Amino acid sequence: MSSSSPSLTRRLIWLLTVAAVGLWLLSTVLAVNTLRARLNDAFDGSLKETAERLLSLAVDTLRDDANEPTDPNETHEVPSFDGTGGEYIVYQVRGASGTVLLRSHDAPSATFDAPLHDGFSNSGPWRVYTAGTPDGQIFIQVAEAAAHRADSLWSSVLSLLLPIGILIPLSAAGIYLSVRSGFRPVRQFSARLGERHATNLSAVADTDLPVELKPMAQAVNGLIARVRDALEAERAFAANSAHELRTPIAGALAQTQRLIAELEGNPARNRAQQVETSLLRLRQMPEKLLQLSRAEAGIGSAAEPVDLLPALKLLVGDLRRSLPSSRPVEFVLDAASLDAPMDIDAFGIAMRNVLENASVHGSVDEPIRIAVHSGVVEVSNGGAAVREEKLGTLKGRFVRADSEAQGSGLGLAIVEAILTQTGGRLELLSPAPGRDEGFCVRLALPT
Amino acid sequence: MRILLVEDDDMLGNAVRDHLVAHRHAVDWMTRIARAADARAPTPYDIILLDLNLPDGGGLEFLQGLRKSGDRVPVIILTAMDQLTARISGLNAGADDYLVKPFDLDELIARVAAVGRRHAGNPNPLIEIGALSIDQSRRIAAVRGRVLDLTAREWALLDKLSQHPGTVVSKAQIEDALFEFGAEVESNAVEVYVSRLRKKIGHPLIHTSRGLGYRLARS
Repeated sequence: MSSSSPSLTRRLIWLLTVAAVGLWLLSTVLAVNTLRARLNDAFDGSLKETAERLLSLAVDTLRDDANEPTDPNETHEVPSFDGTGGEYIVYQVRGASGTVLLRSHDAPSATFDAPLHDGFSNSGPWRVYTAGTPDGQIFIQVAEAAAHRADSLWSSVLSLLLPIGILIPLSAAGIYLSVRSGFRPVRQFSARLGERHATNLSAVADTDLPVELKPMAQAVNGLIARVRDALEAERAFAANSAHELRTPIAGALAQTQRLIAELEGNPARNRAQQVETSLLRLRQMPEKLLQLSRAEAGIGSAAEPVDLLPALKLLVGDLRRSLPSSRPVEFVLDAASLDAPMDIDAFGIAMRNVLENASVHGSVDEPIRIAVHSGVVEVSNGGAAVREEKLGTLKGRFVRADSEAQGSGLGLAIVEAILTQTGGRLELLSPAPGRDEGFCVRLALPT
Repeated sequence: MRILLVEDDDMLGNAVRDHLVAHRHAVDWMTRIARAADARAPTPYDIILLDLNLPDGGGLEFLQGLRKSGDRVPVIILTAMDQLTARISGLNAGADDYLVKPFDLDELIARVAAVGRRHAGNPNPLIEIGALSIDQSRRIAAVRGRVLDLTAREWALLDKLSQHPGTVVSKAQIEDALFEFGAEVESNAVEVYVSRLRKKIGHPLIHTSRGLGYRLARS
């Protein structure tokens, strides 16, 4: 999987974390709303109770003062409830005309903008409760700063919000571990699926997959089965086609060769030889096309490495038999085995084409040299060096070294197809290494 | 050599048989495994040419059956299956050589000769016995350098005797090597061909072992 591909785990962590935080915030908003109402009720209750208790004290104080000569315009102040800081609650005692008769230390000197009848009201930054004597001559207005209530509310909100800082990493870690654990069967299925290739198209076990993913696994296994059937059908078709094509051509060729033998000295022999030449050409092209078809059908890979050296020795023996004794074949072994995860038949097709290439295009005066190193086979032959620009095109289909050359022009394309699909590499070198002419084909087999 | 050809394709089988006969071999051609097994039982063939895909069974199973029964007759597989694995399976089953169709008839003749020589323990195609020289690869015989004009049956007789010089070959073995199934064989046919061959290669080279057969002198 490339790093740019979306990660389901990462996406789930993001989505679930954002959802958890969102839910927490929503809960906080609802909680704060309820808390604010309850705090207001509690503070209001407290304000009312304070007012009712202070009213009787204030009335008594005013009566005592009335018995002593004082300046009627002087407003009395009482010490604050808390001498070290500002008061949360202040009050003013007012007469029926609205005159402030008495006020607490931190109470404003100006009157509260609140009506003189029992009940709550808001006056600028103050929450005010007004209570009056039954005769309506004296009123007390107890006020509490709205900022005090906001501070209390805010400290509660903070205590609700602070856990989010811990919640986010804990939630992400928990989700990561849960998702990772939940995806373990999927990862195992994915690993088993990754082991499938051209030579291993067995069904992937899905017994430990969650029930939600089973249909997907069944679909994948169905697809693998169809691919396996198609590949087997293609391989069987290629093998059967080869058989069905070769047998009639073999019959026609054998009959023609008999005819040539029986027409010794007859002018018609020449015609029979032309038929033989055509049949030999006819034998070659379908064979190459079938080889290419088999190469592209994915026959090249093997599940396990196999020693290809015995197969190579058979092919070298064939080559020696097919060449005149005047043209030697050098077989150099620098390795005791030639192990590669490659199908023997695919290797045979590739090597036959390379050896045929050397015997057809190489100089008849020079030997064909086959060298085996570790994982590498080199086939060299003599002849004029191939131009560099031509060398680059020789792996293409229907490309010949020169216009006069024999052959289908498919040999190296077949070798390239087989090696590419197995993870090997085909290299063409001209001049051959260590020489100033000749041609060398190097097959680096898959490891 | 007496050859059993097992091939179900008429056109190919016909040409192969004619070519082998033209090269002085006696050939029995069977198109079914069952008939090949019937023919093999009483006849000591020198070589079997075996197709692998036959209508009534696989040639490979027939070959494995031969080897299991201890029959060491040389077998050359003729098949359209060119895969290395098929070839390795054929060789592992006991085949002596493997020829992929379409093949050159002359290459088949050369393979037959090479396998025959190898089986006889004499891979050298040139045999010299006094003034007589036999080139098995070119299928010619000469006395003091003069090439002899031998008929197919005379060559088959010389070929049979020269496979094991100094060893007695029975009359029945010679008959089997000379005549394919269905050939009309006179009771004194072997004596007639031995007599004709003696005249061409020199009388002393073929010894008669009374009641046993004939043997070619050692080189």
